[in-house]
Amino acid sequence: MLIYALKRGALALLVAFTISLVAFLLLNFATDPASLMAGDEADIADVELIRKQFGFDRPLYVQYFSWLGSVFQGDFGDSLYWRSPVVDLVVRHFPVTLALAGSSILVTILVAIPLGAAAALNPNTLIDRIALSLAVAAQAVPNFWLGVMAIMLLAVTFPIFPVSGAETWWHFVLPAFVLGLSSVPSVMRLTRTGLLEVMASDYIRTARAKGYRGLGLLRRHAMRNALLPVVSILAVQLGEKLGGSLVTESVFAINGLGRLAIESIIGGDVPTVQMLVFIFALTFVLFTFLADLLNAWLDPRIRLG
Amino acid sequence: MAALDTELELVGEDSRHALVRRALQHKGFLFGAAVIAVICAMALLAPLLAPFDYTQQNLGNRLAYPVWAGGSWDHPLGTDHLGRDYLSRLLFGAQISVIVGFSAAVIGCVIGVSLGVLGGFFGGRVDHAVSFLLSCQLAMPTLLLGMAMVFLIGPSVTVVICVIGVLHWNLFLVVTRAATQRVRQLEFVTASKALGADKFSIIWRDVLPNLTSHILVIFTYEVGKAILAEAALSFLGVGIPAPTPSWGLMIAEGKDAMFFQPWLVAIPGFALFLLVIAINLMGDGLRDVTAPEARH
Amino acid sequence: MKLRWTLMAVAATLAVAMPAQAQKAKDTLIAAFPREVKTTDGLYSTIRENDILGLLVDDALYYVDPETQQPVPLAAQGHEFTDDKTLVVTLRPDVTFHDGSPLTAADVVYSFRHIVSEAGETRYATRIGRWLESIEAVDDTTVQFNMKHPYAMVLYDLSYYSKLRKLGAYEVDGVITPNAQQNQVNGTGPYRVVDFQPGQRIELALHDGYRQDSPKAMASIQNIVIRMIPDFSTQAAEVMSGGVQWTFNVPTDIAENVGRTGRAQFVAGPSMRVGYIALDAMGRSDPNAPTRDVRVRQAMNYAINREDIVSNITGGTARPLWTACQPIQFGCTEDVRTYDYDPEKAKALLAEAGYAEGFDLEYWAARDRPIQEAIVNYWQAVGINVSLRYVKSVSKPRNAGELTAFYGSSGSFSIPDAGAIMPDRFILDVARVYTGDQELSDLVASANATYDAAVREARFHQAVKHIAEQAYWVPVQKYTQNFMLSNDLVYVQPEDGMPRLFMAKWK
Repeated sequence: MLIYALKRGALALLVAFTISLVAFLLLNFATDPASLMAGDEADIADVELIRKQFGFDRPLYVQYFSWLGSVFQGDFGDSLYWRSPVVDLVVRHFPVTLALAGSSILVTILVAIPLGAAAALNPNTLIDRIALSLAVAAQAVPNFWLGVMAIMLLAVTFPIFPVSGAETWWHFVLPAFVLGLSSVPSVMRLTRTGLLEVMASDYIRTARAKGYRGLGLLRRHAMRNALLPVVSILAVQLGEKLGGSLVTESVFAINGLGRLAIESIIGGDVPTVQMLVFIFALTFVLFTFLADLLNAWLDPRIRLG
Repeated sequence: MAALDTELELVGEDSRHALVRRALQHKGFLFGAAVIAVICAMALLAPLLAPFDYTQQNLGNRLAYPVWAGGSWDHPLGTDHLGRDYLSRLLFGAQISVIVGFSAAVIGCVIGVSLGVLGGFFGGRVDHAVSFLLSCQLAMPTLLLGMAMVFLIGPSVTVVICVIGVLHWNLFLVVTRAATQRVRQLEFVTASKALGADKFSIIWRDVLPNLTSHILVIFTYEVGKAILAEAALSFLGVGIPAPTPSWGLMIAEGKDAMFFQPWLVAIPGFALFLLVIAINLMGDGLRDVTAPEARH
Repeated sequence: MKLRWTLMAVAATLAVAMPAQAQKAKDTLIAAFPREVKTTDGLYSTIRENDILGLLVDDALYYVDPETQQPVPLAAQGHEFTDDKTLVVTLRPDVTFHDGSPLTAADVVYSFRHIVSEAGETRYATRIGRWLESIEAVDDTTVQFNMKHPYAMVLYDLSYYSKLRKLGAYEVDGVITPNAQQNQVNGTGPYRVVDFQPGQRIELALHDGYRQDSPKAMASIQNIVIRMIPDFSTQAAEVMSGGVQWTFNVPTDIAENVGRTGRAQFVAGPSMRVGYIALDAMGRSDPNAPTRDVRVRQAMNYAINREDIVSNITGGTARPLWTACQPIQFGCTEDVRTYDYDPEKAKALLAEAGYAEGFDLEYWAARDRPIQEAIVNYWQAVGINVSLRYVKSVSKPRNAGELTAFYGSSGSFSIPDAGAIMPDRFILDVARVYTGDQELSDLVASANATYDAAVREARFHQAVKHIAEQAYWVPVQKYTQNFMLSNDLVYVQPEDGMPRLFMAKWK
């Protein structure tokens, strides 16, 4: 188990750093950080000075490794736009994004799992068909459009929810719903397939023979086995949402990491974008890694193989 | 991989008829195909169908109401914030969606399939490298990187297509890699090897043709995803540059007036929804038709 | 139908549970800003949002009276010119900083030295440094400004561009730190900063020690919260649902529609802001830039239908602009060459300049997207192949000399004098200038370097005419200024166009 974990962990880190390298190269080929850093009123001499001072005149690979070196010391550089350390920015924007990601996963769980279970328990009935159609619809609906429509209907026409911001938990209801819905199709399908397989297995037949029916059967026997893959996909989805809610945050004017990312791109704030790419990749590999470990722990075939 | 075995049996002439018959009985497939046909026709015939040039502005007739809200038949869907005919923009927007979706998926397909075939066929180190690339692609914050790339390179239709294509190929890779591994074991490939055919021609002549239906299914889904990705980029202001009409851009532009002229947001949003749902249904249909056992 | 009624019932119940008018009861005004405020220190930002914030948290030496639009003493008691290059200002004895300490001459001297110092990196160093030679304390309540040359607008500069800071405010461990006051500026104004989340939220509260005989003493609302909401449609939704009570600079379409619903007020106010397109006349962006040819610049002027833009898109009190200043400003004249909409003439001029087939152009802008799209359309109609780069801010590429055409706007700090807008846009020591015209630069500089009103006026007139003749700009419009206010708020916009948020009060 330990060796497996170490192997997977090392691979995950390698992935995160490769992505950071790609981002670094892309961003550095396309922009001139020195002139960005010199600011609005600078002349050419100032820019040259800064280029020397901060080492932008060195070869790219040297710059990358020196960036990597400071990352290991916890120094992620300064944001050009905000003129403050990127770490501070990320720390400031993270809690909101965490709350949004967490609550949207909650929405996913509350919608997708009961729906998937209902569909699996009543295969090829109306319920099953409705559940599958919902999944198809949720997959096709543009996230940002849904957000805009939700604000229009549920915050203005009927002022039930706040329009924007993230001050209370009440503010999170609409954005969490919109963001959570995007994960519903995959989680629901997986729940349904998992349950269908388990229901067809021998020991469920045994349990049925013993007289378990309906919810009791589901809770005691089927659910636990069917949910194993669901748990790991949820972990991956959470990792994705921690960095991926660019659109939702923008629609609901929530000032989390997603909006920081958008603003940094449009503001040409290269160090911040670079850092965010790295952090998002790292979060994603971390959660995938956790999901892998979870799977391995629950399923000895992986752990030993 | 029962699916693949079934499909391998289906290569003969008779099975083609079976395929068509099954497709014609599949409601989802028919609906999807019909909607896509209509939208593609709209896109192709946009220059003929559109009553106006999509950039022709008439500032004196801004935000005109659509017919059902009391507007005139001159502008059946009303006009936007610059007085441009909304129907014409919607039609040309279909062109953009279809072109971007299709081309980006082609790029993704080429990348994903090549890597998948390489990894699956050669195995060993090549396969390790390919898996590593896959892990990287999965972990990439695609929308963020896509935004950054489009913004830094400068937005244009070509750039958007390339960026989306380059960032979306993981499904192609996964499926072709697994399928190639299977195909490699099959007898006729072993036979070709024995006959001394070189590896490339084995891939080209024996492996790829057997993967077509898998790739086609994935391709369909990826077109849908690429269309949504383009719309999201345009919505965030770093996609298709104005005044080219893209449905995502139209939603973003209509957002300012959404509480008072809600159709400006509702119409392109619904069009997008309809197109993507049709594409996904067609994908589901293709999957069911070519590999009925994989349904659950 | 049934669903609709159910939803309405739910909405009604919840509306009772969460009264929309709660803000008045809490005596907390929530205002929305469209752009992000990065610092509470007004010396480090030039956006209008920071001007508004600066008037709340800072008292400068002078204050522009909204009635007369003339500078009146604020932290100063009075002033005297001992000669045309020496200004002596006496301070009021009762001005205090938010930390409770009194304002002294030493603080004023420190503030101005910081503003013009290189290490201070303030955004007003160039502007103040143009005229300020040195400053010294005469005694505890008197300071003397020694000027490089006579400067007619000096009291305006002492009103807006120069915030007062406590001695040593920018020193952290003995090192000059420009962002030392970023998060919680220690100002002298009627409101103090309670909490600041950059780019997101500012919380202000009335400053207890604020003197009651100040021209700004009408400030009555206990707390002001400023939320940054980039999207005007989101702002409209917030105002209609009671989440925000005050917004400014709202597009006319949105504000009018909101007003029509009766769920909030729409107030149109005057504005000093002008919008223009600057063209690269000197080949800074590209030695072969077509815009170097005056005929091309004139063609780009003829190609645009300003009347259509202002009456249909900007609306309100907006009017077409032909000058490099707002015509109500002193020194501005509308007796200039105008370029009435004439696409045929534009095409002819382009052909004459050798661009009968048009040319490729990147056009940069950071505000008023619909107007930019309209402009792109007009230019395309005469054959120029324009692509719009709509960004968050054009200032970096602009100052780096990379742009051939960009949209700019200036509110002149709401100062009714051409000297408030023209120097920063035509004197060649400023990075944003693309004219390359040394004579014009000298002319504008000399116009501000005399107290003789007639001479100033003549020089500015000459400059304005020259700019129009050379078509260095494509002047576009005089702005309108729209506010959305909650129904329980009273706010009257002063004539000069500068929002003074401290004048807001509950009904």
